[in-house]
Amino acid sequence: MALEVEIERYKELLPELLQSSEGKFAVIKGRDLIGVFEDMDEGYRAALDKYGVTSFLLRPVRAAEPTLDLTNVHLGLIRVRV
Amino acid sequence: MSEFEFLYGGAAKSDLLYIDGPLIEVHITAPLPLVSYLADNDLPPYAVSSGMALIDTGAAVSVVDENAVMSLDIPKIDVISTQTAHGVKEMRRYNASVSFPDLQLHHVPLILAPGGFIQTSTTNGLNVIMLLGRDILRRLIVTYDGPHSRMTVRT
Repeated sequence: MALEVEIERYKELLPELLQSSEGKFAVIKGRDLIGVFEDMDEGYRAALDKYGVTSFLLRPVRAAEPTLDLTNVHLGLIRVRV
Repeated sequence: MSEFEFLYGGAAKSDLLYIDGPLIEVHITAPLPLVSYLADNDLPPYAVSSGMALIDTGAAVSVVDENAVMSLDIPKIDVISTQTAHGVKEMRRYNASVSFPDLQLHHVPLILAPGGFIQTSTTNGLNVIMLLGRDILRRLIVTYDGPHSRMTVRT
């Protein structure tokens, strides 16, 4: 899975982040927590400044991930390559 | 205020809105923080992926075509699992920006947009590279006039 290491690290840090930074944006590359930011664009830019143009995890700090309503994708009405 | 009328509106070609659905041209490119990072570091700007967006009021969030964002090499910033008719699928998420040239509406942020293999062609061979969900539609006024095969979008 893409960003597997980063997501695992996020889950490890989540209890602590919820206490200190709920609603902010956590930015993680590998196991490195680059920071927690009030503003998503600020976090995005911080990751670029530290690691250049590469993938990283930028996720809002919240107890549960919301369910995405993607009707077409769920029903397969738009072609989905599997 | 800008207004756009569906490309094939009018009674003479009345089936196209019904067959292809409500479409509007979009240009997808990097999000503004990435654009400014490249400019600050004297790096070449990002390319633009152009195509059509299918207006999808059934989707809470917009979906961008995975091939389109991969061709731009925009970093993925999250991953989600979704249940589809074909089983559980992993979808990467991206920040990007989308422009609507017909509305003169530029650099609208796409936040954590899922990437899916949604590319398809319209009857006239135009590529659909985006499902335009309610996260973007909340900024727009869309009118769908089925009997007259007309669709308008305005800011």
